[in-house]
Amino acid sequence: MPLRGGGRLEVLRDIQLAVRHGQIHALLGPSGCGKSTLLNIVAGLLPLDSGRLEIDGVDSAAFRDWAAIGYMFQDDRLLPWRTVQRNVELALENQPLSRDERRTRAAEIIGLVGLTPFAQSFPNELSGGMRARVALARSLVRRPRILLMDEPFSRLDAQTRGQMHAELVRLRELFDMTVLFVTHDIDEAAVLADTVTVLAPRPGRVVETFALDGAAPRDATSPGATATIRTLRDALGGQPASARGDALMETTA
Amino acid sequence: MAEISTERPPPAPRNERGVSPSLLRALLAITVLGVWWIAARGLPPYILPGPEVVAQAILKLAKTQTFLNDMGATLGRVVAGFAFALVIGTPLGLLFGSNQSVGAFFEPILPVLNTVSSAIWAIFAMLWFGLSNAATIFVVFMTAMPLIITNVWTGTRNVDPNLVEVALSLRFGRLRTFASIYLPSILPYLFSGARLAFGFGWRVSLVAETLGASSGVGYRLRQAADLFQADQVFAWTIIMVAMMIALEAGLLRPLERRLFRWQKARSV
Repeated sequence: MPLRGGGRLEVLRDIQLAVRHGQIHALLGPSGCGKSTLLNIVAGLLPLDSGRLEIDGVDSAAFRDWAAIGYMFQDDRLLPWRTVQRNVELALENQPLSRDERRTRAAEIIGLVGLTPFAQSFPNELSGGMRARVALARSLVRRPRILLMDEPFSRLDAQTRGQMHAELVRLRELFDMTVLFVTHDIDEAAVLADTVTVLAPRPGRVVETFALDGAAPRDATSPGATATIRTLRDALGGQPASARGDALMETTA
Repeated sequence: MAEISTERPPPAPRNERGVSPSLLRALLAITVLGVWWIAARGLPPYILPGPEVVAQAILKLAKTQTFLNDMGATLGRVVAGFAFALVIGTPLGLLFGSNQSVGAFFEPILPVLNTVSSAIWAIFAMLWFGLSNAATIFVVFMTAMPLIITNVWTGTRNVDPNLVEVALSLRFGRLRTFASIYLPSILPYLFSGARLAFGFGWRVSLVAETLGASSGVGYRLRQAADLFQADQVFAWTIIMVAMMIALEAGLLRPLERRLFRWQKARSV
């Protein structure tokens, strides 16, 4: 460490994080804690200035299997001039697949998110929840082993968000994926994650990592979840953990 | 009228119910023809020929051997100038849009080019190219190119950086990112620029031909005017307008609707 985003600013310091295979791992923190930067480093979109990152047991510098990583943005970011089908196909266009294979695989995943009747619709004909499903389908169509999500549901209303949580848990089982997702929403972390790492801002650093019990998605009003929410809130407002030496991020998928 | 009725809502305007737009168009055409016909009765035919005289002139014109040659000559020049403008203007617009310092350096030229009258270009064309196809092509080119550069440039600056990031996250190369994100984003701008440029090109081609050509519609128009053949002038004018409308309704508008279907789509 230190890690750096744009400019010469120290964004992250002493991040030590291991994401276990098959888990939904939340990075919870306020804005400015560098959680998106961390996600972009894992995605290979930002360089790692110092420290070490292993993906799938391979050092990130040697990692080449980018199709194994899916990325979902904060907003749906669909191409407005493409139909749902063609939007999902986009993610396959630099993959070694024939046109027919692309078409079939996109149609398959569109079916899995329940949008087959809308495959030929354009994004501006869809509701926000449906668009989020298309974005999810696009990030899954390469059948990634690791799915990175940057506050993917923060723009949705509460009810739609709940549906998307259930959808994500279901698809995670189906694809046997590891999910690393960033959120500033304590409830979302408590409902959805198997493990939550709480981050503190400026520079971003790990406060504490919690393992949560029970199968996601949990009921946010259940006693277990409310206790988790309280614990996470305390950790967010609390003191940072002591320095943990050199950074080591491992994702073992 | 400040009358307040509490009994029933005011009737909807007639043209929103019942009367179809095509009927209104037909009515308008009849009105224009009627006014024209009445006006022509009071004026000598070398000032304002009546509709029936002009119709005869159109029919006679269409039968002449030079008619297709002249139409073809003008159309060919417009298309050639327009094609040059497209081929040179599109990459320039892309370059200016993608490289800020190059764009900032050349930006002041565009308004200057746009303010130069096409008649001035026509004079220059005569000076440099004499009586030739090149003269008209040059004028069309000089008029159309700034429009295409401006629109492509605007399109380049309006590409959504979020979508470029999607391509980045999918590990697309430069070429694929250009083809799948930049090009489709710019296309609507390019298309409206091209449409505008083609329309302008038509109009200025006639100006250029009246000055610097020995064939083509513009040349025939001037010839007819010199000989006080007002019916010929009207005939050519109507043919040109009809062709523009046909091109617009038969080719450009359907093409635009097909290409940019996604813009028309409405929320459910």
